[in-house]
Amino acid sequence: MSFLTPLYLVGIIAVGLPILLHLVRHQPKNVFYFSSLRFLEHKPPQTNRKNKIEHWLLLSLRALAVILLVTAFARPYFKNQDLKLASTQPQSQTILLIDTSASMQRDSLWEKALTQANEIIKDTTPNQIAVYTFDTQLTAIKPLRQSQETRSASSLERNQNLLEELTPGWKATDLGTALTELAALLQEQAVSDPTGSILRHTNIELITDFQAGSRTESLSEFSWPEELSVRLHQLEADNLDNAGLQLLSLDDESQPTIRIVNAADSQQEKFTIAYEVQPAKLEKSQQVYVPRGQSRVVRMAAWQQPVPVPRIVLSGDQQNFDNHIYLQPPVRPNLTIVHYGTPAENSIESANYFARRAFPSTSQRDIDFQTIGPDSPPLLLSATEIHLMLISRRLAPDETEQVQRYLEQGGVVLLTLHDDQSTDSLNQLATHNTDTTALIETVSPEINGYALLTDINFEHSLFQIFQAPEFSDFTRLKFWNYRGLKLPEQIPHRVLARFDHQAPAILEITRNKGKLLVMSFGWTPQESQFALSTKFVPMLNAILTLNDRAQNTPAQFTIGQKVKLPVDQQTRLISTPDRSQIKLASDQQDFTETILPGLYQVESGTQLPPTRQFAVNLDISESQTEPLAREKLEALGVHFTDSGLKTEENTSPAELQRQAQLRELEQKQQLWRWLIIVALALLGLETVLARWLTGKSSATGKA
Amino acid sequence: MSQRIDPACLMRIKSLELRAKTVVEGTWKGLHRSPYHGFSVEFTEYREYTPGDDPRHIDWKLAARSNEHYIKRFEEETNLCCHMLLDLSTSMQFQSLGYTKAEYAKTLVATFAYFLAQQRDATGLIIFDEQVETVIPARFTRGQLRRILIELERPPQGSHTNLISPLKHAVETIKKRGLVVLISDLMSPLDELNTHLGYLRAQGHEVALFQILDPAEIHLNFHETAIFEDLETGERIALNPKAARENYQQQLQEHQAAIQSFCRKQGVHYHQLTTDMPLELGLSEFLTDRAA
Repeated sequence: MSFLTPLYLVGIIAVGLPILLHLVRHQPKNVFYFSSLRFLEHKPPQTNRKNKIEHWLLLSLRALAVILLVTAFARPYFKNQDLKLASTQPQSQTILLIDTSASMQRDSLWEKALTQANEIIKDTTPNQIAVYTFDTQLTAIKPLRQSQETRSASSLERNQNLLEELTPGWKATDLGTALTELAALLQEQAVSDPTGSILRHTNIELITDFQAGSRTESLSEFSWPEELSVRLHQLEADNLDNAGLQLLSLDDESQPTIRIVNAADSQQEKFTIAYEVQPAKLEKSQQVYVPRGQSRVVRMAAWQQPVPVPRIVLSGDQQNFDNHIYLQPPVRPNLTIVHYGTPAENSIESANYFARRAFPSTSQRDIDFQTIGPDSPPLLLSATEIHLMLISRRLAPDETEQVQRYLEQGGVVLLTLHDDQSTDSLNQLATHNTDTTALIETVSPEINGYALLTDINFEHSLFQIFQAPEFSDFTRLKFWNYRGLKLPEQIPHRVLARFDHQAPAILEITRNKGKLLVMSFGWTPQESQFALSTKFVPMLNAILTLNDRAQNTPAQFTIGQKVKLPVDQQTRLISTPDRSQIKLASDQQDFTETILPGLYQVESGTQLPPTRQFAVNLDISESQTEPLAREKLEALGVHFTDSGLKTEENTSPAELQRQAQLRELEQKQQLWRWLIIVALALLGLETVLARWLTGKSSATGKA
Repeated sequence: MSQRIDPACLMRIKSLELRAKTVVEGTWKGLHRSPYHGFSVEFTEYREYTPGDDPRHIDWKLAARSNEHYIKRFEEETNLCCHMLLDLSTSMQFQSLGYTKAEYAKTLVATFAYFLAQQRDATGLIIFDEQVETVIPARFTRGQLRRILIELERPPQGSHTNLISPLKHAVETIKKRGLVVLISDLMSPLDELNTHLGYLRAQGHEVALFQILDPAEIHLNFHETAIFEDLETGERIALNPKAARENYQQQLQEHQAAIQSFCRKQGVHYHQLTTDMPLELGLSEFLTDRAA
């Protein structure tokens, strides 16, 4: 054990005090004035001249309390191996955090950033620097761990070469995420440090244009370590004028609605927007007045010619990086729905009547609804072209095969049990006729007047749209009749809703890639209120969207956004705006390399015309290029140091640093607190013991 | 029986008269006697006025009707002449309950005075310590009670007790037979007390002795070893009360027994009051004892 302030140990002499008091205690000090001493025999108390101690326990308690208090003042701590390491190798590191977001492309900002970074690298010992860049995410160029492991190999030149390879990208700035991730990394590193000095001796050199569009929300959920500080190198552009464009919507007639955002420190307020058909060839231009720090929404004239799709260009400001919007009109998908039911036109007793009306064609989609009756000619469509199958009657054997094939290819089938015979079709689809012992049975249901839905699985995508409290009331939906189902365990299934007598109402049976949804009731008014309820249309359309191929595919994205791709093509190539091609794996569903603004084309290996085209544009927040208030980050807990100052550890002599580490170690262990607690406990015990020994003190006082 | 008044509460009342009034009215209520009607003021007959009679006693209403002067004769008119001898020596300044024995004794005297004034009895007071300090001859006048109370409220001079001189004074000065009440802690030697009480009894006085003691004096319930200083002599001894208690209590009992013994022989009413006892208890005990 060592002591931070050993001089306080001199106070241990005070331990003699309780002994002295203990011995002196026998000399009575109190004087009682008594009416008469006539009847009092002179019996002097035993004043112990032999210095005999009566209560050893009391004395030792008092002495021990004094010793503990003195020791607490001397601030003890335990030295350990880690401290030795720390004291011999003082931890000191610099983290260079460079902004590579789109706004850094403004005139000479990137050159300034590189100059600043090179200066910092020169001023720092080469093996103590780590380099990170950030835009929407933090990227390690020379990570923390590497900076420690390869201490000997690092050199100034190598670090400078790392910088030369960097360029600003097109992504938005998420300063909050970058700082929190970096701080979290440092905290992880500091876990193994017994002195906790890593954070204190780490200096984050932040080189950024510090624009107002930087996101900082992540910091509000993060507790910034008090020891960690950031030195901000804020870069200023030569020209402050900047306005940006954002596409708000692109309607069916290809008429775009755009927003123009003017930066708060901009000098310009008049801008021109136009379609750019070819380079430097502008059409349908219009003037827009946008006061500084504000935005305006403009609906542009429709662009009639389908090809080529032009881009929208803004002119009037000095910064060009955010002055373009690429347009891609959405594709209206053709969806095919097949209903194996009884065709009965205009009869509300038919399930088909309601099903057909639940899927209208809209501006977003074109629906081809085909009803296949028992006597209808066989279906000529291939299973891959069908987006949803509805079954409300008993299927013929060839129809069953077709549905089974459709299910195997990942289709979605909704089977409703309008009558008891439908159970046979259910058994064939669910069990695939492989095991005759595992058959779904129907039992007569318990219905007292009507049944209601309970135990609804609102987490399932079928019911997710009803999750909000104002939509989750299913008590008005009454069922007069349904089929009680008994499913064997061999059939893997999930009950999505039950009737109030616990019989399954809606089931999901997964068949290979496909999904078979079973409703144990019919939706016609003879059997239930379902078709007439407000839940009917949303629920059937939710079933349609269970099929990935039936989902609407958006065509407008921002930089860095994930693009969901169809899975039905074998080999896919994506042409990027810089003419390079990226090959995707057959099962890859997401495309994440949307790093450049422009038009992307998805091409399959076999079909020549591109199956899909989408546009990627810049995040509008990058256009807010006025400086961010430093106080905003400080309010979120980030500590800034002045960029002109050197940190303490660089200037302090080694001894001072060691003392600081010892102080930190002592503060971390905080043994003095325990010593004081034990001393107080001992004094409490002593008080109780002394009271018990001396008995109740005299109530009769002094005259 | 009425509720007793806690002496500690009573002593918090600053006015001695109010204290006395509180006790007396409490006692009377306890005795089921009204303090405001009758008692010794009922007249028995008229007699013709003769020169020398106090003109205050003439019934003027009767004189107006009959043109004759008659004097009311009262039953038990000034039936008692009471002298109270109060010890206010320094030993009476001892306290363990927040008020001294002297204060308790003064309240007792005031109570008696108030009570006797209510009964239209003559009351006198002799305050003494080493010597006789104050003498108020027994009278039945309107201002007598006030005079007694003023004397009682004077701050004590304080010195040691000498019981003999007030008793001598009483023997020499009190001519009319009556009641002599001695109020003291009787902690001083009793050498000649017996003799002088005997003189008083021989003169035909009725004598009552109230010994006022503090509970701490009886039990010696001190726990700490301390230096004990005699309030009267200033003598000091270091003492372990635990060790001395048994012997002290034995000696005190002997002392008390001696007092009780000669009181019994002399026909003196003896009452021991501790300062934690309700005052009306002393008063009612005394009245009961006297009536017996």
